[in-house]
Amino acid sequence: MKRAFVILCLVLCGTANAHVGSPDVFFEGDAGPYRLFVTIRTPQVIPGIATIEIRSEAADVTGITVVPMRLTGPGSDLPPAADRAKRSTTDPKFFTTTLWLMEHGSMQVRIAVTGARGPATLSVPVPAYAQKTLAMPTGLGALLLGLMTLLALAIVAISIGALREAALEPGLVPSRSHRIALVIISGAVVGLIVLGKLWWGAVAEDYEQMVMKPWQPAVTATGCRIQIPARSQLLPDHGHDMHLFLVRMPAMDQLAHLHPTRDDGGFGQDLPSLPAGHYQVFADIVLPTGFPITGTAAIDLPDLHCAAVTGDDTVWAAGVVLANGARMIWDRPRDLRAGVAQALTFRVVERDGSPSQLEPYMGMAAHAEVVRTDASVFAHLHPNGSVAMPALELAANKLAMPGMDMAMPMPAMSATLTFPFGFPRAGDYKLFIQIKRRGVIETASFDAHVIE
Amino acid sequence: MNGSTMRIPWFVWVSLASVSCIVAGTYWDISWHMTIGRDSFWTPAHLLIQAGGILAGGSGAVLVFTTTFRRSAPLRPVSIGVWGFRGPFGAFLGAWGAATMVVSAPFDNWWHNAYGLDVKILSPPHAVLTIGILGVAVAGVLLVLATMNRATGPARDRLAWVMLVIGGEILVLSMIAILEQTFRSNLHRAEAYRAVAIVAPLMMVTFARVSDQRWAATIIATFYTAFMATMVWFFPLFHAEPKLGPVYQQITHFIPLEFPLLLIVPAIAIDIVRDRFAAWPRWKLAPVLGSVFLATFLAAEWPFATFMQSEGARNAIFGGDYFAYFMQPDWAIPRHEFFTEHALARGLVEAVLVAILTSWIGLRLGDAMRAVRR
Repeated sequence: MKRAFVILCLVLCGTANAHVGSPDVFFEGDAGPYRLFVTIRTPQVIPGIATIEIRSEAADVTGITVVPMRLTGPGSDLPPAADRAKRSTTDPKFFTTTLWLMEHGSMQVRIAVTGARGPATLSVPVPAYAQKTLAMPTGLGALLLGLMTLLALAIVAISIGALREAALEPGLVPSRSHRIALVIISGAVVGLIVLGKLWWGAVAEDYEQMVMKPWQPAVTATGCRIQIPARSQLLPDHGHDMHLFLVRMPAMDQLAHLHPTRDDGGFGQDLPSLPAGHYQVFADIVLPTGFPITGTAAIDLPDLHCAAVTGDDTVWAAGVVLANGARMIWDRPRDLRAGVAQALTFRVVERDGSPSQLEPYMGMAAHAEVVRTDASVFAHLHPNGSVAMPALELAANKLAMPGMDMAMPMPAMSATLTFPFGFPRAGDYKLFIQIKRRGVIETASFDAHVIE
Repeated sequence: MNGSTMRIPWFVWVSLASVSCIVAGTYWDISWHMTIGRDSFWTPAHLLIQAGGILAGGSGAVLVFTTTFRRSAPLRPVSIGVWGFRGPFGAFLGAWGAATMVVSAPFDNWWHNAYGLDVKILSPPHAVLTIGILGVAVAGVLLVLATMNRATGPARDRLAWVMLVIGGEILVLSMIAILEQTFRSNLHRAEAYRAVAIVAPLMMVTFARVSDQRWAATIIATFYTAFMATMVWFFPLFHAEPKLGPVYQQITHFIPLEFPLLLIVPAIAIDIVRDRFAAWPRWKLAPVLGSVFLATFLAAEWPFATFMQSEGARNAIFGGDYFAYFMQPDWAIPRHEFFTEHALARGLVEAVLVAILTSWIGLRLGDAMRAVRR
């Protein structure tokens, strides 16, 4: 078991998760005829307990159960006994439950729904990883130290008492003192405690190795070319091995969304024209298991006068608005609160107020990037949430019956865009919403102030 | 009441019940983790372990308080003094063991929050719990032992049997503690034999030395064998399914621990050697006991381990195809393969030396225990 733990660590340790500073999973999808908004609040330690919140769009869902499984390979076929979600007493469409995530890596939560329209199933991929270890609270530490001291003194006293009297015939009174024994036994007890502390330290260090470490690739730029070190096999996400985002800091007034391809030095990409500045780099990739990773780096660029972007690549600068007088409107809730799962809703309208005709941009109605002003949070979202598409495809394939076509359906190109998400922390954020109209990729940006 | 006509006191039965609860609870708890996975403070297995602690702690406290505060208490002449209190040695140790078990609970709870639910048997908080359990178990032995050492005639014989049963239970606990080292895929590696050499000669020689029984080690090993084998036959009769995932093995019933190791063979050898060389001093007897233990155990267990990996063991008698839900199909254990060993000869020599050392400790400890009166 330990061996497997170490192998898994070799694969995952030293990497970051998908997104930065935003470990929870937000997903909106269909379990058969039932539309569900699923929030999975991942535990800080693995094995640990995830909290699952499920909101049904319709009121005819009568029961929901959940099970954890691996996303692919062994462990992805046999479900454990399911946990039944509890329906809210005040909101019959809202269900909650908890679930143990026992292993690191690419997991899925399989959701079974029963309702008026029959049973149905949905799988939501979850990247499971240890986020941190907790320090012991001072009060508990003091209590345990006090109890340990008492127990240590007691066992020394019991041992000395036993040495003095245990072998005496009934009624006899002890005559010998046992000072040397007292020293030896006390030393042994102290030694045992010290050994225990060393062991504790070693175990804690082992666990520390399993805690997520950021993937910080050494990104370099030469002229109009940017290089990112290679990773081994990857799953293409929307047809690209890597999605690379450059955000000029601190104003976040420039954004480039690029798609490097493999070259001799790893991944390479021709940069577009960009103004000089300090850029934060986010690199999204997906491992073959469906485990998504976002690498982070920073790079200073000079004024770049390069070729224009092509294909799915795009750049944006502050002040640029949608073409032809079109606008993107955020139906902003009154308050944005940290930790609250919600659908961020945007509408794209033409100059005359009519809904815009959107085209698929890399297979989606839109892509959104959420960046905290200090770059400590980065999330790449789609209208179905924060789940990486390759992971979703793996989960869907697992649910497929033999012969069933499980190609991900093309979402309806509505001019109203919703992104299931919850801001992980209070603070100021920038939201970039990217769409495609009339064959042109366009970006709109919004500022968000999130309160506790 | 003289030693030959005395009734067996209540605390002897409580000690037996306490250790029995802990042994059954520990076995059940590990099977629970292999089968169901998810547990809570209130699982039946945990309740059994806690009942064992409560019995030991409660009876220890009663004995200490009654002996301390009642001048006419019958155990007062056979008590020891600790911090102004008086009571039998085993009573103090039982209370201490129970208190240690209690202290491990908040530590374990915090550990799970800080580092995640432990998937290994031995973590630091579990080690604290194990020390507490050890205290309770040894306390049970001491309470029975002191009473036995003061008794004569039929009472002594009955107490000797109670003590051997507790000895067998402690051997079961010790072997469970080295379960990870002695799993079937490890039984062609020296690590398994080193681990067994640490606990088995110590337990068997100690209890055999204390007992007047000629076949004491054999009786203890028989208890271990009967207990472990019965559990292999008994546990799968009960329906159970995993409540944690991922699930790698299809499971529909409780998964028992391993079929017992063939400790019965070296136990018989130990009893024969003890009988043949009873007059030898400890320094001379220990090398013979340790060497004979390891040689006979190796000769019996090595081929038996091969059998346990074969088709012939994949049935309800030997449980060769019972695997925990978390055992991945490509691991050596469900593939019925042995882990590879690169330093077998050196490891086995180390195991012999360990067995000699633990045999000597067993002889020394047994002699000390024979002297216990209080």
